[in-house]
Amino acid sequence: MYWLCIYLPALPLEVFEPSKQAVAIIENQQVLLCNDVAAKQGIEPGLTASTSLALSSTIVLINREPEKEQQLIKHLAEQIYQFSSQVVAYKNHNQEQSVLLEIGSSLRLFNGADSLLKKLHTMLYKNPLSETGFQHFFGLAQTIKAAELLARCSKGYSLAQEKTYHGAENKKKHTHPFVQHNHWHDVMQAPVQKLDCQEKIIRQCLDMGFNKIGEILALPTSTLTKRFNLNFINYLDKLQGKTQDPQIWFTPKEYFHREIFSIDGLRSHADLQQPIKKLLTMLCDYLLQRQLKCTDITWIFTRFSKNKNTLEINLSQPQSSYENLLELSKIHLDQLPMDSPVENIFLSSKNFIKKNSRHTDLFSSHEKCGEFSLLADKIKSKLGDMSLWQLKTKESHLPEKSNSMEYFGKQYLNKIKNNEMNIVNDNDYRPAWLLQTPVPLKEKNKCLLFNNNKLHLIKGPERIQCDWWSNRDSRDYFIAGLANKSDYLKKTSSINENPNEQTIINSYENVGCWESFYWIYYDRIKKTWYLQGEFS
Amino acid sequence: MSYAELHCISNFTFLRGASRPEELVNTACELGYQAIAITDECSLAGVVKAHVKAKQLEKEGRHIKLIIGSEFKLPDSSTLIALATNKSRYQELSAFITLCRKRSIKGEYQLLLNDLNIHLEHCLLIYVPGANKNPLTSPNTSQDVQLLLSHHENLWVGYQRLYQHDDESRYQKAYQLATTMNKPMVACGNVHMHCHKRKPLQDTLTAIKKNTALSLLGNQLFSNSENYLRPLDKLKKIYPPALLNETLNIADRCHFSLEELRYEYPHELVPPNLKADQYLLQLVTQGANKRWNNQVPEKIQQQIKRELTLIKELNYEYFFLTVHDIVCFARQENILCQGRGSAANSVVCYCLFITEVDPSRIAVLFERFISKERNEPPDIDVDFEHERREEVIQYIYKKYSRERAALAATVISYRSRSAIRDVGKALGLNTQITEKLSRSLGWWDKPDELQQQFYKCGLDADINHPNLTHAYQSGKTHDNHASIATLFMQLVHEIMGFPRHLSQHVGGFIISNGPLSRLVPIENASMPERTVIQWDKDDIEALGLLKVDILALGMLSAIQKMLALANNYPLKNTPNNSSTPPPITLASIPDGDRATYDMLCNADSIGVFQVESRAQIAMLPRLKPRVFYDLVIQIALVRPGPIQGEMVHPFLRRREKREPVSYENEAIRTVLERTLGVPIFQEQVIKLAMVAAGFSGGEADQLRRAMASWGKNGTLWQFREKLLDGMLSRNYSKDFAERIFEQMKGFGSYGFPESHAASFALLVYVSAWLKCHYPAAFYAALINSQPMGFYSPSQLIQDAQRHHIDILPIDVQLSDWDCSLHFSSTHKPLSQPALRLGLRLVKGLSMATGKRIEAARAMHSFRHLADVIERAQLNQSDRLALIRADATASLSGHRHQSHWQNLAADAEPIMYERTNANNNKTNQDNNRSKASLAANTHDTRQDLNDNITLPEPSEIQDIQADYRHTGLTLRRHPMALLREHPPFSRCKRCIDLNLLQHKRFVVIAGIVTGRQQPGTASGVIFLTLEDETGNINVIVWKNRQEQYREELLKSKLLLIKGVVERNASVIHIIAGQLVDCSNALQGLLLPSRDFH
Repeated sequence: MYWLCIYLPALPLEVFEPSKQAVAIIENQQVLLCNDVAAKQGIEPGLTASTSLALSSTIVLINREPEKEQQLIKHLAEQIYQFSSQVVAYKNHNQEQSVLLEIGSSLRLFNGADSLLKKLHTMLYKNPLSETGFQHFFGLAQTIKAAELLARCSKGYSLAQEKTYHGAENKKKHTHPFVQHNHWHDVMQAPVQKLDCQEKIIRQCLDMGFNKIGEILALPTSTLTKRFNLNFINYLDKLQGKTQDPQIWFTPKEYFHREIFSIDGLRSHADLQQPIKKLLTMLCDYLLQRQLKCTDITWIFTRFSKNKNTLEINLSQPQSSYENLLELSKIHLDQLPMDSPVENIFLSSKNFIKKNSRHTDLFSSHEKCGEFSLLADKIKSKLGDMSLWQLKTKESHLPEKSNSMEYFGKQYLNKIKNNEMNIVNDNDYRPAWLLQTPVPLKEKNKCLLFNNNKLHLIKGPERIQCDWWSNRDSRDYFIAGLANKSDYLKKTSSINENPNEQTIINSYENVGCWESFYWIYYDRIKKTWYLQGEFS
Repeated sequence: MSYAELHCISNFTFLRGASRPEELVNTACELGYQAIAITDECSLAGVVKAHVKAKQLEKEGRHIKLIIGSEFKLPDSSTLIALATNKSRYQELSAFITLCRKRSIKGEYQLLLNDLNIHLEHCLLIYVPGANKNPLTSPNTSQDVQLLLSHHENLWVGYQRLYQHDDESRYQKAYQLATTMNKPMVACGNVHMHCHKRKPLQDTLTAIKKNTALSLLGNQLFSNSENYLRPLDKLKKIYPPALLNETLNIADRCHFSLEELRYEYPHELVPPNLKADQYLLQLVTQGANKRWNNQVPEKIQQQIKRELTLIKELNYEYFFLTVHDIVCFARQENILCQGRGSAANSVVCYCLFITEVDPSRIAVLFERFISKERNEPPDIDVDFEHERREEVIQYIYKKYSRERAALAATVISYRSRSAIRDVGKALGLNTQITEKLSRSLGWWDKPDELQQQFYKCGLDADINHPNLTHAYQSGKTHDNHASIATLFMQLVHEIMGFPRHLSQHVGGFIISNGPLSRLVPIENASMPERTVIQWDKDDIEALGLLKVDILALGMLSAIQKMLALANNYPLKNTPNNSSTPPPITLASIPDGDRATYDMLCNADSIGVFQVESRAQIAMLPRLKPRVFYDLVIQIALVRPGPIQGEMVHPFLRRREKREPVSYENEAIRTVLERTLGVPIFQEQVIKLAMVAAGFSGGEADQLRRAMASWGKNGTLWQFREKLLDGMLSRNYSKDFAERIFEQMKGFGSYGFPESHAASFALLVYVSAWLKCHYPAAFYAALINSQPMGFYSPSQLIQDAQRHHIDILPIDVQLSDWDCSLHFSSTHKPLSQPALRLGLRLVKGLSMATGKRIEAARAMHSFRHLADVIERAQLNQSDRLALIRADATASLSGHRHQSHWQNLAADAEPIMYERTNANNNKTNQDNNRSKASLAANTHDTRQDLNDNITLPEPSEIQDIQADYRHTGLTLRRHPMALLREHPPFSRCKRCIDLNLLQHKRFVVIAGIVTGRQQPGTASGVIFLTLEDETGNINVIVWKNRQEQYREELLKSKLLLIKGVVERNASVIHIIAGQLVDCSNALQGLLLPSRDFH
């Protein structure tokens, strides 16, 4: 067996888009890696964040993001899977990531090691996942641990591209086919610091004056077992291939992908019905067997002319029901032009979630939520994704910020599910729906007019002065009424005409006299009156 | 119509109140309020400042009544305001706050409902019902609270109208409640700021408190700025008249003033048959006879009489007796102590053995200590050995109980850096930006520069307000950067000086005759078993209370240890070797020792108290101290005050007789004669203001206070004009007047009064004398007292080696915990003993372990590593620490082999269970006998080598490990190793610089041990480079700093090309080119020490 390790020393930096600015990745307030621009400004690994800031006034410091690295490694492993069926995503004690693959059994398939390595190199160098490709080092050995170690020592076959990252290992070019190389000699000569073990053990080795791995391996095993823990002894054994080194093999992500061909071509919507039902049945069987629900499905219809129509259906809530999926698909299909016959129908689904086996409460709103989401999906299928809106509430004193609209999304459904739909507003005196833009009110003879009718201040003011850091606002809000009885106007004629100094004694007792209620405010900065909402 | 605001939060309700107590009182007075109550939340921390302001206004003929009160949050989210009507109610309130505070951790309080009717029975209470928004609060809680309060005799229901949507319903609720409870209603404002413009600051404080950005706070902020002191006509429109009148009724019932507080010192110190003054006289007389050997000079007797008369007149006898008692305890326990500060101006203090400076040595100004006109309590600061100060503190707690003794508080306030950080966070700025801004404060007074900084930082990326067009105050249109810069600067300026939290004073104790909590609230400090009062030293001083400062001084610990070691020298300095000489004590050290002064004149002062800094060392050969008073001048001269005031060079020129000493007139001569016409001491500057600028006694006193608080509030500026005008009108030159003012600024926090300098000079002389005559004891004691002083043990050891003292390595077989002295059997009286480094230098080793090793070894010496491990019960980290420090080399050969053996030790069963460090003596005795048994039976058992012999570490590896694990090496200096190779072989060593002429070009190299950028040095950076022969001082001018920024910041080893600057025997190198040679160290990573 020959294990090839692809070590990606600059991965923490490569997960981010390349930048023309000085950029450094920091971990525990210390620089871990930096780009060329930063290096030219004197930044180097090991510096503290504050020293880096002192050295460069423009440097961008970014915290390391291990989750993004993990994600990227998974994507890479998927691509590497084409070269070997035994692939391992490996993370060492220092959280450095690499991908290992067994190439012994793939050498013939790829016409030898040189060709395979070049293909891998090209794949990494010109990779769609990174604009500038991935810096990488190869390590080849007969054990996983030795390959990983050699890759980190950059003693292996390296075709590192021209770009470099400071802090990554210095590259060393070996262009010869290194399968025949004596890798074990390299392992023995490797520095002790490269051992993949706890920092404490490396420290102990250095304390005893061991500098090369070979110096440790040369000692009698009995003296080592007396001094080091079992994990380290096991590691040394695995390094030398004395014991098995079981790994969790990488398995590519599963997805549903089926297609149906028609020799004669499908010429009408009615012709499509049967194959669509068949494909959906297959999908639902697939979901049932794996206890999954899908969150999207994609239909691709290929014509004889090779023209394609793609219909993507994003579901508001994961589904596994045949009926629901069929109904949604039919709505979409109604919009499919049938001007030329369809040769091939393709159905795929890539994103799944586990079917929830949790027991729900007797009176839970899940049922309601499911119905609602189906309805929402139907509306969106019919009218488009931008057709459905929802009310958004936010904690803010400013009314237009506390109540606003946004496109309907999954969050809304989650709120329904969790019974969180109560609008957070303890203020009983605000209309739930506001005008999109406040409407200026006219003033005539010290009277406020709305549609040429006189407004009467009933309650207020409520003063709102906030958001001074963005737009300074200072408003006095009132509830105003439009009277429907002429005698009431007489009754209220004594109201002070200066609305800013209204007392609050007026109350609900007069509600019956009013035709409608409005929410208006006086902008104390612009000295203007506005209408912002109407009470139902 | 008038009004009394009864609910007012100051900024002493930390991160809530947005105005200072003084601002609230002043504004209330300006608005024509009849009274104002300062009601901080469960706190009286701000009331003294409000009281002082109210008194000041009264002096100016503007009257406003100050009511003392406090606010408490109740479990039903309502608020209770308690007001003190008279002294006993104040005591009740203070005790209640103490009760609530002491139940909780620092900064918090816990109020139990049942306390209200028991512990707050007589205070006036205002109950302000809450909005009851908290879903966890059940309506029942509200009913419980109301039911409980309805029994209170002096209760009002408070109503506050703040232009909110529920004003009306809250009024109705309050009205119904008042009717049900049959209690009157009263208006109150829930004031958080003195003017509405403080709203942004109040919001910012809320954001800081909630630790989030302003834009995310939503409804947690006040909806408007109505929580301010509103004009009377506005109040008249929004409150019913009855509610406003009720505020005045309540205010009329409150007539307590903080002036009524009478403070009593503990009385138990005076014997029953004597009065305090009689007892004090008795003690002073005894002390004087002892000090002057029963021959007290007439002048001194007169002075004692004068002082005692004044002390009696001002009733300060108990204060002196209390301090005397504490000092007596320290002496009894053999804890070295010495009073300093203005107390050294008092002969009484000298006779009570509180201070040590003989009044005949300096110009005693008793008025500087106590003055009838000034009528403020004397300030006695006593330094104790820093390692034993806790014993003194515990003595005070034990003697007077925690009810009667507590530490004063220190108000931790916003300074520029913390203000930038917190305001930046509240505004949602990126931490990188605020970090950058706080590092460089050059933009402080330059808004344009700040805007540039904002542009550079691409600020708009971090503020999610695309329509940011207004700066809140101006209302004008700005671009993003400008408006944020304006807001940011304004808020930072506003928040500066705002209190952040209370901390404990370094050692200011307040001790009373009765329970202290009835005088001032007491709360828990963060340290366990520590309590602090809610007032700081300014408050205590303002109310005329007395405090004793129990301070810690590292040098006293060191001197005590030096004396102990020196007294163990075999029969040195004895006229004949027949009798045992008396032990050396502070008192027995001879005056005017020529050798000591010679040593100081040669700038040989590393480790000597106060004159060891680089600046002081550079000054010594120029000032050439020959008598005690020269030392007093030396330590007061090299301070920011005189340096900023450019007084140093004129003084040196006059002293060297290169410039004539002249005085503008006779009055100036009397003030400045003893310092050759140059003002050096704080007292002289004040006196000058009086004689040269016509300041009255009162004004001079205000000036002194302003100087002390300069930098904190900037009040000194208001004296500038008066001083300049006064001096110019008296025909002094403008230049002289300006210099005097510059001096005052410098004296701010850094100036020394003469008496203080004299107290310190005494320790300078003592430590210098010990260094001169007992150098081995001197260095050993200094290292044994670390951390203290300017120099690391490595630097001290190198200095010791330069003084030809043999230094012996740390060895588990021979070293004690402390460094010790070893006399050879052929020790000659004038030779110095060898210094054996102690186990305390082993990084990571605890004292308990060190002592266990000492004890195990005392029984019999160790045979091998396993023996040490077993008998001293060493755990893995102890072992590693010892091996890494090479303390076990004598047992195993070298570090590598020790590590090899140590790892195998764990595989063998260690015979005894490890005991923790807190074992009592009995346990230790048992273990000793067990360990002894083990050593005998397993003597040959432990062959941990397994027949493997590892190669020895290289010299460089050993040096590296030495530095890393002990901070020093006795092997060759790293520079000595590098010296063999270019470019270092071509560099001059420190010792070679003495032979070079002024202005000569030179190349040097050394390890960077210090980077210093003193505020007084106008941007110059001082570097200290260490090589195998000494320390080289390098000056890097500003123009070079920018060019070699990277080298200055990062280098551990620097090669510098520069020019020699010589002045007498003082040599500096002016840096021209800096080269970072850190790589040459090959991993010899030495931590550099930065002094700021």
